[in-house]
Amino acid sequence: MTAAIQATAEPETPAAQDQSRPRRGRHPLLRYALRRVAAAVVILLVLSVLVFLACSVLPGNAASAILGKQASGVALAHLEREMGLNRPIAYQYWTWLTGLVHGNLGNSAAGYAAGGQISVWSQISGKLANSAILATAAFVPIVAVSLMLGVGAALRAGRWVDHLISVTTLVPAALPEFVLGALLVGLFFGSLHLLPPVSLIPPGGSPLDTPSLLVLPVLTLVGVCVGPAARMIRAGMLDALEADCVAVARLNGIAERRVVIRYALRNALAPSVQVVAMIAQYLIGGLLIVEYMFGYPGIGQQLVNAISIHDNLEVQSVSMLLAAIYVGINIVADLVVMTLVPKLRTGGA
Amino acid sequence: MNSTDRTPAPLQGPSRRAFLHRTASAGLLLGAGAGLAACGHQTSALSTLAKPRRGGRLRIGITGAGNQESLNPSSAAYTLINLAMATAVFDTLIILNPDLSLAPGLATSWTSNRPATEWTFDLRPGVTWHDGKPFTASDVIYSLRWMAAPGNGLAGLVSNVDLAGIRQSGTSKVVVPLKTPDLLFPQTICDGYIIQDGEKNFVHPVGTGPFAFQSLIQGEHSVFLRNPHYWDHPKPYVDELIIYSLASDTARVDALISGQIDVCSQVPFTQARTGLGNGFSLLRSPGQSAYAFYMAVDKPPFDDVRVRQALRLLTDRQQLIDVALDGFGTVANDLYGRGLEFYDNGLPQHQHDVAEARSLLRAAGHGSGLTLDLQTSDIAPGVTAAAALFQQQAAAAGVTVNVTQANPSAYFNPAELYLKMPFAQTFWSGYNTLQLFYQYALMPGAAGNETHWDSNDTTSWIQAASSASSAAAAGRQWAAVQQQQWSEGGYIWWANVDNLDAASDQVGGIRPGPLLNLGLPTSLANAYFIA
Repeated sequence: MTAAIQATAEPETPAAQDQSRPRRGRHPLLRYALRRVAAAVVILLVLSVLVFLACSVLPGNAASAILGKQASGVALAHLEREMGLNRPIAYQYWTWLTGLVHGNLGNSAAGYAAGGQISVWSQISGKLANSAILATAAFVPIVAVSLMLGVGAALRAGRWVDHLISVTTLVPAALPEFVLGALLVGLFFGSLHLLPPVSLIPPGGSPLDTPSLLVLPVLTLVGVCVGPAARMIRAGMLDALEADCVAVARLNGIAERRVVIRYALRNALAPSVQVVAMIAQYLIGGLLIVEYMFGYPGIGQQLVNAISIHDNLEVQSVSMLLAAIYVGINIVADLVVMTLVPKLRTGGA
Repeated sequence: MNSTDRTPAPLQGPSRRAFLHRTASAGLLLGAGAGLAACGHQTSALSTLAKPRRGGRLRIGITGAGNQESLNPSSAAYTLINLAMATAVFDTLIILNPDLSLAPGLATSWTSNRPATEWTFDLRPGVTWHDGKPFTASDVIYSLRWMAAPGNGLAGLVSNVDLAGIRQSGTSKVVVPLKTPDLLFPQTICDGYIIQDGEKNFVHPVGTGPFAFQSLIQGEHSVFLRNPHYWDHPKPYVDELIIYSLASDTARVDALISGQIDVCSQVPFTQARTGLGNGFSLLRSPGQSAYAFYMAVDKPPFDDVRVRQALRLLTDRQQLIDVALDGFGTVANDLYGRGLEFYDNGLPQHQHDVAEARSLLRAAGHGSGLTLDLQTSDIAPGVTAAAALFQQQAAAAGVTVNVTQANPSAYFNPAELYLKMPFAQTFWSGYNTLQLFYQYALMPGAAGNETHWDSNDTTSWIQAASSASSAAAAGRQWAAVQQQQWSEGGYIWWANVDNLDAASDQVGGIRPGPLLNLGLPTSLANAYFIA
C-alpha cells in the first residue's frame, strides 16, 4: 500500500504548485481532480505489477493446491495447462490486466476444483456487497459518534467531561478486535441473550434481512475506531478554537455559541474530513478479523481463502479493487478539503 | 534401508468378531477416560430412543475450506466439508456404517469368484438420478473409470481394478475384474462415489443420494433439498439440509449454542472439555484418525534405526495427548490403523523410557548430543502444540530439536514441501483398510511415502497381504508388515484422536463413529428432528 500512502501525503502539493504557476482555466478544482485521477491510474498500474509479481513469487500454485496430495505428474501438468499457469509470466499479466480493464476478472480456482467454470466476479460480488453493508453500517455511527465526542471533548478540554470521553473511548480502542468482540459476545449473548454471537446469513438472504446480525460486528468496529478518531477530531477542533479568527470573533463580542459554530467548527472541518477518510480506509482492510470472528461472509475472509490456495486471479483482482476504492476515497477526501478551504481552492493567498 | 530378513511371526489373522469385540472394548475404555476428563460429556442417549420424525431444516456448521469447497467427489477425501456435501448428493455401491460393518447401497449384493479376482455387484433396481434419469450399469462403469483418471483423489480405490475389463452382465449386474485378488475390495469401494455416465462438471452436480443439490456459495453455505425418490425410504427425514462453512472454531460453537445451527462439527478440545451447556450433546467417539511425527529413513541421522527407536522412546505419548489434545485421544503404538481389520493389537505398547533412549543414542554415536530440525504446521488441532512439547521431551534426552513452522497449504503439497521434509508431522484419517494405507504410505514411489520407506521385503509382504486368497494368509503378511514397522519404522504414531462433534438435543439419528466426524457417511440421511 505504499502507493496509497504517497497519495495520502499529496494534498499539500497542488496548492504549492498552483502558487508558483499562473492560473489557467476557470475550474482549478476540476483540473486538480483530473490530475489526481490520472495519477491514481498510474499508481494502480504500478500496483498491478507489484501485486502480480507478489502473487507469482509465492511458491506453489492454484493447480497444485487444488490437487493436494495428487499434485504431481500428468495431473498437475494438465490442470496447469487448463488454468493457463504454464504460460509466460508476461502473457499471464497482460491477459489478466486487459481482462480487468474490460471488466472480466477471469475464472476462480473454485470452478476448476469442481471441474467446471466459476467466474471470479460471481465468487466475490456477494461478499463485496456483504462487506459494503457492514462497512457502511459501521461507518455512519463511527463518524457520528467520533465527531460528537471529539468536538464535545475539545469544547471542555481539560475538564472532567474531556477525561471521561478520553477514557471511555480509548479503553476499547486499545483492545484488539478479537478481544473486544469476544467481550461484546460475552455480554450481549452470554449474559443478556440479546444478540446472536455469530453473523450467519441464511441462504438466499441479505444481512439487511436480519439487522441484528450486524449489531455486534458494528459495535466491535465502533469500539475500535471511535477512540483514535475522536482524539484526532478533538485535536483539530482545539487548533481551530485557538486560531486567530476565533480570538478576533470573541474579542468582537460575538456570542460563544455562534463563535463555535460559525468559526471554529468550520475550520475544524477540513482536518476532520481526513479523519473520516482514514476511517473509511480502515474499514476496507480492517474488516477481516471481525468477519472471521463472527463468521460473517465478507471480502476480507474471501481474500484470505483465495491467498491460502494461491487463487492468484482472485487475489489480484480483489486487491486491485480494494486499492482502487482506497485511492478513490483519498481523492474524494482531498477534493472535499479543497472545497472547504478557500485558500486551497483558489490556489492563492 | 536396514530392514532385516525377519520371518513373519505366524500370527493368526483376527476374525471379524474378535475385531468388532476389540473396537467395542476400546470404546468402553475411552468412556471411562471421558468420565475422568471433565463434565459435560453426555452422549446422545435420548436421540437414539426417540422415533424419527419427518420434516424440518437441518443446519450443520463445518470447518470451511474457502475456494476449495466443491461437490467434485474426487476431492471429497481431503476436507470434511467436501466429504459431507458429497455424501448428501452421491451414493456409493456399498455403505460403510460407523461401526465399520457393510450395508447395501447402490449395490444390493456383491460376490466374488474363489480367489477374489472378480467381483460382481447386483445393482439396485428402480433408482433414479436427481434429474429423473434411471440409474444403470453404465453409470457404475463410467464412475469406476473416472476414479482412475490422473489427479482424481479416489484413484487409489481402483488402482487394482482391470479398468478395460469392467463389464455389464445382464441388465443389472456389473462385473469388476481385479489385477490381483482382493478380499477387501468391498471395503475399499465404500469410498467410491457413483456419478452419472459422462459427468465431468460438478458445478451443478446430479446424484442419486438422499439430498438433491440446490446451491453452493464457497465460504458461506450449501443448500440441499430432500430427494423424495430416495431408494432408502423413508429416509432422509429432513426436508432441507444447509451446510454452513465456518472457519472460526469459536463461531462454530457459538452458532450451535445460540441456535443458529443444529449440529456443529469438529468441536475444539477446550470447548469439549468445558462443556456446551443444557440442550446440547457432545458426540464423541474414539477415532481412527492418528497423529505422528515421521522421519525420512534415508536421511541421516534417521537412516540409523537406533536413532528412530530412541526418538520413539523419548516421546511421552500420554503427556502429548494430555497437553496437545486436551486428553481427547488414546495412546498409539507406532502403527496406523487401530480398529481396522488385521491391525496388530498384540504388539507391546512402546513406553516412554529416556534412559533407554539415551543409551541407544550413545550407541549410535550421538552421546554428546544430537540436533534435529522438525518442520511443523497447523494442519490439525494440537499439531503445533505437540511439536513444542516434543521439543521439551527430546531435550530431556539431550536431543536439541529446532522447530520451524510451515504454511499448511504447502505442507501436504508435493510441489512444495510434502515428501521433502526429513522430520515432520502428519495426520491421517479415513482409511477403511490397512492395504489402502500401506500401499499409499510404504511402497517405493507411493504418493504418501512420508518416511521414504523402500524395502523389497515390505513391498512383497504388502502385495501378498493385499492379494491373499484367505483371511488367515492376509493376516500373516499384515503381521509381518506391522512387526517391522513397529520395531524399525520411520513413524512415531503417538495418538488416535477422538472424533468430537456436537448437536442440539432436538436432533437425533447421528451416530458418532471412529472413521469420520459427524458419523459420516450415513448420518445425513439418518438425521431427524425429535418432535
